[in-house]
Amino acid sequence: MNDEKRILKLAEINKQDGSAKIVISGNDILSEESDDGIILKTFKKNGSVFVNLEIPQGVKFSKPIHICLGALYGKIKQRINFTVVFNKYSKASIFSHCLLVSENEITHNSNYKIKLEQGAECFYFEKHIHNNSGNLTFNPSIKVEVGKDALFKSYFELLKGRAGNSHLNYDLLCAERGVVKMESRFKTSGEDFISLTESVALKGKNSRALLKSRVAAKEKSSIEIYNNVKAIGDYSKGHIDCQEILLNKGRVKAYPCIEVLNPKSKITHEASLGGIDNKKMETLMARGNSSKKAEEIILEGLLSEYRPN
Amino acid sequence: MIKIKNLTFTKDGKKIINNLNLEIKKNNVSVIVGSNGSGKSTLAYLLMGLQGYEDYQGDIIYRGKSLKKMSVFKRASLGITLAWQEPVRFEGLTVKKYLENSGNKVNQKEIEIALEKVGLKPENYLERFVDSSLSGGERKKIELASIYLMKPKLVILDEPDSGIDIDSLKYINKIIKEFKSNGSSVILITHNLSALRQGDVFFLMCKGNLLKINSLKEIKSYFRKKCVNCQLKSNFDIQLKK
Repeated sequence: MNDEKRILKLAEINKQDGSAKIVISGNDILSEESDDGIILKTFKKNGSVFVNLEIPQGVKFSKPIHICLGALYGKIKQRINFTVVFNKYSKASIFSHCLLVSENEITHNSNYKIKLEQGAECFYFEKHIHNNSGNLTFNPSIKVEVGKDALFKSYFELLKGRAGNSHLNYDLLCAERGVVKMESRFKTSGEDFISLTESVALKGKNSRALLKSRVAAKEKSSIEIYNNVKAIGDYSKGHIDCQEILLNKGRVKAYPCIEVLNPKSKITHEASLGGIDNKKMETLMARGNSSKKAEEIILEGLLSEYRPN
Repeated sequence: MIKIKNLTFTKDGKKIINNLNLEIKKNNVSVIVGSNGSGKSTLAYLLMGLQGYEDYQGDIIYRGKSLKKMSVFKRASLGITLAWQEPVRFEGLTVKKYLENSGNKVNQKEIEIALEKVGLKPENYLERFVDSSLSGGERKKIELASIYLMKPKLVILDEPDSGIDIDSLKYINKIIKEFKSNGSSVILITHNLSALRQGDVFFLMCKGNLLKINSLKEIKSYFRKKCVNCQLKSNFDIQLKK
């Protein structure tokens, strides 16, 4: 099986799936294809991969754009740069499959710049499958400009394999009536460490943001979540909903930083950090499940894989 | 089936259950009524052995065996289970998955039957999450369906009828009847008159004490004479006045 086939198999997608597809292994572009309408340019410069993607004005794609990033063998330093532009009133879904499965040392650095023009809609889904050694460093940085009346919805999932040492950075700027909805689900084990930083500036009037995270730290791993939301525009609203569970000797931290610079705006925050809720455990145990089984059932639900509506 | 001997439970220096004695017989529905704060739920938690309710004076004997220091799981393995007054929410857990984990190995058909028993259409609920997208009443019915699937020997139902619409009460009453006909014993804590009619024996609880009452008629009369003027008013009390 060649690398491209292996990557597509790991990503659970068929060759004919999607409206566009980019397959990258290490720092090599293995294949790229796009439907009429999607402007796609890929090139390599100084050992890094560059991908420029543009969705034309008013075009709405029902099939997703697949970006498959593989780190399959040996020691790899992957450097990826994405620039994505959604022109006015365009709509598309981007499914990014990060398959960092090489058991040797992996370093993944990526920079995403996503721009949504007026009325554009982007659903960005990032699913990770990692190795089981935890021998990896993962540093994605994502900057998103959400234009007037635009919608940016994202879903990040790391439920298979180890997190290693990961630092995720999201930086978003939201214009008038722009909406941001972000959800992250991940778990760590061994001595993994993840820090997730989500910074949103609600600059425009009536702009909205919802940041939701569901995470679990097992064994000696640790998770830190930084949610920074700033309400600037009139009637802008934000909400942070953070649930972090720790098991064994895991460590979880939450750093909510909410700033309201406008008396007409509002930001709310809810966070729950700790072990698994006792009443949930006892309910399942009262149905004849052992404490271990009850724990598994609860975590399986909390960290369930993404299901399209 | 279960004997409670001289049970006393104190929490934060306050005596909540006071030297209580009770015997629950097989195939019986034992109804416990009483004002809010009288100790009914505490008794249910002590029977189930929940966290914070393990240390008590006296003893609870189930089929000749003391339940002292026995975990919730072990008690459930013996056939004891509890339906909470406020069922919890399980984020990301579907009704189907929740019901699949109800003690016994259950198949899809049995899950569907259990949902129908509580008045829920399986096709509308199996793939839904047991979270805040369901109303409190719906979660109560799903909890009851999970208990039905467990085929327990002793069911403790803590106000299964609260937050339930009038039309749905018939499903709850039917399922209580079915528990009984399947050989289970039921301890039913309720404020609801129609649920009360399911009872074979009646107990009135007040300030941690339990008083056996001979009939439904007598319990109504006792309430009118003694409880109406008492400071501890209850929903039950209000219903009886009507």
